[in-house]
Amino acid sequence: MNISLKRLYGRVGLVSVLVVGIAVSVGALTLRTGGVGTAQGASKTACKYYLVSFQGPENIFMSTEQKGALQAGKDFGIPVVFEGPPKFSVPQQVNLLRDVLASHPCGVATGLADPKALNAPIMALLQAKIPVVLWNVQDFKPGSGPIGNLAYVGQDELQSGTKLASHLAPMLKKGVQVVYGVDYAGELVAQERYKGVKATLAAQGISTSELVVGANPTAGVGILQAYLQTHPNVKAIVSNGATTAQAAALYVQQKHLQGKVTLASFDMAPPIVTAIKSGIQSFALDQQPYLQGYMAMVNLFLYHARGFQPVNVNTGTFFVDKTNVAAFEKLVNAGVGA
Amino acid sequence: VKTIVDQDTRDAAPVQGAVARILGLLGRGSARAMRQKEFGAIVALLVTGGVFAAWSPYFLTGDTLSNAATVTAEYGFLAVGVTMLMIAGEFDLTTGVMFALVPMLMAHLYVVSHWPVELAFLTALLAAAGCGLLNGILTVKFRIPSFITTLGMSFFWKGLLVGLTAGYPIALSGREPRLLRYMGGSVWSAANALYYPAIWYLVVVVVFVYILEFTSWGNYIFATGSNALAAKALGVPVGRVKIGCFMLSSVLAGLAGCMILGYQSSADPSQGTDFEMFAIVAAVVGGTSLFGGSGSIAGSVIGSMIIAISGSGLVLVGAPAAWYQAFVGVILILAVIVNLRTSGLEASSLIRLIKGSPLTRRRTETAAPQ
Repeated sequence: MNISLKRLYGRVGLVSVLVVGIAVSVGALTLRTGGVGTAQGASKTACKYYLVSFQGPENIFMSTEQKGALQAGKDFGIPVVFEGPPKFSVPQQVNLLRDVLASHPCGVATGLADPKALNAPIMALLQAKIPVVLWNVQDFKPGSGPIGNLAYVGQDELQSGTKLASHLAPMLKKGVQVVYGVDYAGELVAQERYKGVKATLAAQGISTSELVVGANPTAGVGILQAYLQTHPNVKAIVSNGATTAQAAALYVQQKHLQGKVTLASFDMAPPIVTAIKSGIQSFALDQQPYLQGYMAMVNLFLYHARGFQPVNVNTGTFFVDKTNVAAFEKLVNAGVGA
Repeated sequence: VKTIVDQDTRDAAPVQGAVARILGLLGRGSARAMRQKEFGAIVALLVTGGVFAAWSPYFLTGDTLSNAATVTAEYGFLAVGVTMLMIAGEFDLTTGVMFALVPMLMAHLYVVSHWPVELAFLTALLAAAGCGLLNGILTVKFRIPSFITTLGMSFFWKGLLVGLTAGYPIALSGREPRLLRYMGGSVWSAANALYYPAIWYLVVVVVFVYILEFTSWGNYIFATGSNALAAKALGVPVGRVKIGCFMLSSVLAGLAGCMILGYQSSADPSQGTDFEMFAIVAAVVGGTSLFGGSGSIAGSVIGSMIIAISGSGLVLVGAPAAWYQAFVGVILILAVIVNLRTSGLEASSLIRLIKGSPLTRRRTETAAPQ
C-alpha cells in the first residue's frame, strides 16, 4: 500500500512537472511572438540595451550606475538591462558578454577592467556588428586596434589624478609628502589616477607614495597611523576607495590632526559627505556614476535608433567641497549621488 | 558529564617518564605550558609582537596599541562566538554578514524609521538571535553540516542585504545618540584613547570564559563537541546546546557590528567581508579544534590580537600592507603546527623534541585531533 502510494505520488509528480514545463514553454513562445508582433518597428525594439559590468550593484557605486542606466531606459522607452557578477570578477564579465552576444542586443556598454581578457569578447561583439561603448574603465592605451577607437563614457582617469593634485598642491607646503591610499592592491584605475597625482605633485616639489589601506576602516586607521608615524613628513592623504577615505577621516578625527593632515579622495559615499561637512576632509572628486550609466545608454540608443556615432562623454572631475556639499548631499539622499 | 571531560583531561595527562624525573620540575613545568591549548597562539603573539617591538619604536606606544585594542575587539567578538560554536562541533560562516546585517538594520530603524535608538538596538539583536536560531534549526533538525547551512545562509543574507539597501551605507551624520557613543565612542578624548568596543570585549570575554569553564553549560558544550552521542546518552540536550551556540555566535557578531556603527558613525552593507574567516583563524590559532570538543576563549583573544597587531605592525616595519593577509595565513599554519606538536606533549617527549630526535608514535597519537 505504502509503496504503491509512493509510486503513485511519483507518477503524479512527474506528470505535473511535464505539464507545467510544457505550459511554461508554450506561454513563453506566445509571449515572445506576441512581443515582436505588437512592437512598432519589430526588428529594432525586440533587442535590448545592455550595461555589462565587472561588478554587480552590490556597492553604492555600481548601484548608482545601474539606476542611471535604468532611468535612461525609462526616459527613452527602451529596454535596458544591467548585468554584473556579485563580486568583482573579470572572468564573469567575459562570460556575461558572451551571453549578451548570444541574445543579439541593440548595443552594449562595458568597462575595460582587463584589456587582455576582454579583448576577445568585445571583438566578437564588434564582428557581429553590435555597437559597443566603453564605460567607466577606459582603454588606457588608446589607438591600439578597434577597441581603442571606441567612444568612452566616464572619467578620464589620468586627467582626474592631475586635476585632484592641482587642486591639492596649493594647500600644501613644498617638500612635504603625500600618501596615496587604496582599498585594494593592483587596481588598474587606481594606478592610472596615481600616475596623474604623482607626476603633478612632483612638479610642485611634493613626493607621493602608495599604501594599501585595505577593506576594513577600523584596521585601516591603524595602518594609516603606522604609516604616518614612520613617515612624519606626510601632510596629506589622497584616498582611492570609500574604505580608505573613511579610515583617513576616522584617523584625523581620532588623533586630532585636523588642519595638520589634509584629506582628499576620489569618488563619493555618505561617510565622505559627513567628513566634508564637518571639515575633516577638504574635498572629493566625483565621477558621477549615475551620469555614466545614463549617458552610456543614451549613446547606444542614439546610434541604434537614430544612426549617430557614439561620442566620448567625460562625466568626471566634479569637485565636492564645503561650498557645495549640501547640494551634493541631496543627490546622495535621493540615492543618485555616489 | 563533568566526569567525561575530566576523564579526557586525565587521559592526556603526562605519564611520568624516567627522564622527566631527572629533569624535575623545570621539564614538567615547561611541558605543561606547552600542552596548553593556547601555547601556539602565545608563541605566535610573542614572536610577532617581539619582532614588531624590536624593529619599530612606535609599536609599543599608546597610539598603536589603542587602535590594536579596537581591532582586536572587532574580530574578537566574532571569534568568541565562533570558538564556543566550534567547541560544540559546528561552524558559523554567517558571522561576517551578521556584522553588516545587524548594524544596517539598527541604523535603518534609527535613522530612517526614527525609532528610539534603544529599541532599534534590541530589535536588531533579536533579529540576530533569530538568524542564529535558523542556522541552528537547519543544522540540527535537518542534519545538514553547519558548514553548508551557514554558507548558504550567508549567501542568502548577503543577497538580501544588497537587494534591500542597493549597496548604500547609512551615515548617522551628526545624530550620534548616547547609547552608540557608549558602544563605540572613545573612553576619554586624548589621541591615544581607548574605545568602548575594547572595554565591552573584555567584559564579554570574562563572562564567556566563566560560562565555558565553570558552569554546567560549559561542560555541555565541551561534551556535545567531543562526542555528541555519548553526551546525549548522558542527558545533555545536544540539540539545544548547539542551537544556543549558533544564536550566541550570531548575536555576538551583530553586537560587534553595532559597536562599530558607533565607532565609525555609519554602517555599510559591504562591511565584514571575510570577517567570518578571520574569526575562524583567530579561534584556530588560539588552539580551538576544527573537530569540536576542544578549544579556549583565551586562545581566541590571543588569535584576534595577532590579527589586529599584524596590520599596523607590518606597516611599522616597512613591509607593504598588501602582505597582511599572506602574513596572517602563515601565522595560522605555524600556530596550528605548534599546537599539534605540543598538545598532549609529555615531559619525556619534550626532551626528545629538544634533542631533535624524530617524533615517537605515542606522541603523534596523542597529538592527533579528535
